[in-house]
Amino acid sequence: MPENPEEEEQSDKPSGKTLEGKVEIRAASSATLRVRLIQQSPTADPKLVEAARKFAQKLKEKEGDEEERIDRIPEAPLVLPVPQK
Amino acid sequence: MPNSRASTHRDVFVNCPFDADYKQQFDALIFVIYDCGFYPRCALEVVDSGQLRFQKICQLILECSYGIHDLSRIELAPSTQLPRFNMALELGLFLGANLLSENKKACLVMDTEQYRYQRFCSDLSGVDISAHGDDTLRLICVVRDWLRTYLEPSEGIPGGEYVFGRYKQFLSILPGLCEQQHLNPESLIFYEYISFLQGWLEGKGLREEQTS
Repeated sequence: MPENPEEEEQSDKPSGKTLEGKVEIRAASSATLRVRLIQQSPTADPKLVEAARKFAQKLKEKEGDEEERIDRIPEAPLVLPVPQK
Repeated sequence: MPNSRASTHRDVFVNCPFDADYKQQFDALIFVIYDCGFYPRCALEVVDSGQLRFQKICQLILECSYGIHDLSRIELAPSTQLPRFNMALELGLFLGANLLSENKKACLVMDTEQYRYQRFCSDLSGVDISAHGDDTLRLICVVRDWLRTYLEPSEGIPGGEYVFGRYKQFLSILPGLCEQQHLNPESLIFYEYISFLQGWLEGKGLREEQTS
């Protein structure tokens, strides 16, 4: 048992439990609360989910946050660099 | 094994073809549903030879609060010269279930063109149909905009073009992920695809929210 029960709730590991309904969270002080909303498909395979999660995390660590590099104009033509003479 | 019986209040029944010609749109459709915070459900998730396909579909419809129906492939099959009516049948089942159910369902009906249905299913007159023009980006935008209306105002999700960008990112990493798991990306079955999709979204932290 952890000394502080809150430590257990802050774990990044998915619990595997399905939660339904609304959750109200209030900060008692100026502490920062991080709430992670994890989608849980009723048909997903937990082993493959975990494999993909680790794969994505490794890529993210290796390449940084790619969100900023997303191509927002999917049909835009590629612009080739002009060769330097 | 995936638990196909456990449903959530954000389950979306997906009514579309499952053939190779529609695979690109199907993968994109599943992606955008997931990326918007909903759960796609379709007959592909149930592998039970002892259960009639019709029963599977009825059960799924009963379990889902939302339905997305793509009628764009109701056309003559080259081999038989007969139209495919499965999508129309399942749309009819969904509309009937909604009519008779106490818990109302919401549905999005899509087609290639907005008014093409009038030539093969005029009883749908009055139903708003969204056109995607067989374009993957438009399909993602249509589905994203529709699902957005069922989210809480505070649940912000990115626009369709951005979701499309994420979809392309996911497709780019999928071969490597499949290789790692000794799977062929061309022949992934439904629950493998959504398992990878779920894990990828989690790993990228796309469902992380910070409040203070």
